[in-house]
Amino acid sequence: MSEPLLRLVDVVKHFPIRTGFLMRQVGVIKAVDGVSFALHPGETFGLVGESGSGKTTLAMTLLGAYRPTAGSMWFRGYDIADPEVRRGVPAIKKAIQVVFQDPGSSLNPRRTVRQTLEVPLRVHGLAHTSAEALRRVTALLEMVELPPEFMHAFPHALSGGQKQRVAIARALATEPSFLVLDEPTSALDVSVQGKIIALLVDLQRRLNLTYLFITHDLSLMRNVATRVAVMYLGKLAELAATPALFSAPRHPYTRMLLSAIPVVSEEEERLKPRWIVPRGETPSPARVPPGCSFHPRCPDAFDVCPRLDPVAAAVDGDHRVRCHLYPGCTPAEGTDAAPARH
Amino acid sequence: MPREMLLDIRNLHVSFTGYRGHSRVLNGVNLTVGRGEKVGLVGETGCGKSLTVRAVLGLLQPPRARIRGEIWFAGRNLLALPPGELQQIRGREIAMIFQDPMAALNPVFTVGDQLLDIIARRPGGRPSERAAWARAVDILKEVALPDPERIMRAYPVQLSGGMRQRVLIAMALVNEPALVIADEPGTALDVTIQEQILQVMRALVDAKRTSVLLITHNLGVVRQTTDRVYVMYAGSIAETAPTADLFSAPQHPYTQGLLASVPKLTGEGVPRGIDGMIPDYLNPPPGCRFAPRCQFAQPRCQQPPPWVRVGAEHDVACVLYDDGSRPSAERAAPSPIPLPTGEGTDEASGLPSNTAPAVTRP
Repeated sequence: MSEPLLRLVDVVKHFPIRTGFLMRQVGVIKAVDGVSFALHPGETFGLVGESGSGKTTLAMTLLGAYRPTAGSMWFRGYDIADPEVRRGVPAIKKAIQVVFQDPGSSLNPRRTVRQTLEVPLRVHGLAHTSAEALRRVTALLEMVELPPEFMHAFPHALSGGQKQRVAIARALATEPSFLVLDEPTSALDVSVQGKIIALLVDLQRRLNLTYLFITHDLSLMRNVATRVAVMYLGKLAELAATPALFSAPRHPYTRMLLSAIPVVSEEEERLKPRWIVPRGETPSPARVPPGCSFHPRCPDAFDVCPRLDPVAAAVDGDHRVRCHLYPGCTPAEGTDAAPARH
Repeated sequence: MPREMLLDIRNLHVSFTGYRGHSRVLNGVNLTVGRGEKVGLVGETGCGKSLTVRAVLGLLQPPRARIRGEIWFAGRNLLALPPGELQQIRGREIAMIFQDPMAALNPVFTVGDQLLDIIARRPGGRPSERAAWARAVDILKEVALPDPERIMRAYPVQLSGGMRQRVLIAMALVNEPALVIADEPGTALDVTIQEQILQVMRALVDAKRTSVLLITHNLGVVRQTTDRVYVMYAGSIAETAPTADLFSAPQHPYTQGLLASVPKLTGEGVPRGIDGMIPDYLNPPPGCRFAPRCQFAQPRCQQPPPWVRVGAEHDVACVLYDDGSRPSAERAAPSPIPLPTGEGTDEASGLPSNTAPAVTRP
């Protein structure tokens, strides 16, 4: 396997809960609680999870919006978990870009498309004259299949799909190698979604981009990701190649998620795992249940689950799962499986 | 139709006059919901599904909104009722479940206050405080909320998203309405919670034989929840059929395109969707409003499309079926829309009309 583009090692992001006059810390939100995986150049790595699973916090940490509480994030030989490294190496900022969910709120309504696209060019010193900037903006619009006349339009005059194309063009302005796509089509209609996905796939091939694709739409994930990680309460429950995850899900949570997908044909219905009645809701990351955090909702929970936090183990090649049902996942009794980190 | 109709929307037109002219949004909507029937209304953003609901609930104010047509509910034309009588129907005979529970619940009152308020408006007189409280606790139990006594005293912010949605369902069903209109219930929630919400709703309406009109853009949810479906496009109904038939043999090119656009678990890649955009309501195409995006479009599509019966309770508004013949197997195939190739989709090149430079692309 090729050298990874990005390697996360035990990334932790905890937010202290402070209250009162003295702002005393009364608790901690374990948004991301020990996540490790590697992204390979040119792949689309899918990250699924429900609200509160920590997927967006993880993405924001990768982008440098949060400083991780612990762990390292290796990108081209640099540990980008350290903000000093990010500040010292401008190439890193250019290389990692993001496309957000709602283009209606991620584009500045007071700027024309041209002004929006010129910001990253100016900030990163990629265009020195206005003629050069204009040429770059035209090229970016062409890349996202928008006619050059669009540069004079304000966001309110564009449809949702067109706005998302502008947001993608803005992300591409610094010629990145890695894009974080945080629910890039969730705000769009299904008949428009396909075109944006086709554009992203095409750009990935042409520009050799690596994607971290975050979505809660499992049917979409099945079709865009090369590998999928399932996140629950700040930890990865399962990580596998997409076909394996969907055809042979191992973690009870993954199975619960897959069995709840609303599908549109009998053929798809047959591809879903045996129906598991979903129960309960994701607890708050401020009150993570002890042991395996999924045990209160798990149909297969047994005596070990509330006591010990499982560790990740490979079940089949690079199919990793973190569940006591599988050999290698249960740490020896008496050892503290989850050392407290602060 | 043999079934007794509870809601019967006939040839509903709604238009608005604004700065830029006259927007003709609803363009002759016909829709029925039988007693005890669960009916889905699906369509994309801006197709007019929420507007249809607002018309039923009497929330559109003339003269800003011009309304034509009839909305019959249990033998009365709602559009002809005086406001006072409509108020007697709303919340008692027709209840509504809104999409966003945080916006639909009042944050400064407890769940109990809000539920008791609705129970006090029960048809047949105001019950005693104790009876009302007991009734409220019962309905919270029925929507499977744990510890209902505690929830009665809780404020909406103290509940999770799933619990709030259950409270909304309880509020809608507590006075045993004949019709519940649910606008995207649970779509703000995660799949595992959405599924639980839909189950609770299905169980309750089936037990009480409540009719349901479910408004959603999620085709999977419609397939799991309803008996019959209407597909709406740009202000009119494109197709209606029993749910199983619509999903196994969609007939209207729009329905086919929409179903083909949904990413499938079979993992064949993401379909390219439907080319073009929803028309501008200020200046909609004459005749069939889908024609500019339709690959089967022909000169006859300039006329309003005929309403053709193609199967049991299966009707479609499309000229392709008006030759009297049953649709061929080829037409009935689920995804006959060839995926377009090449650069520059319509969606990308259609500059909206209120942007300064006029753009024409080959």
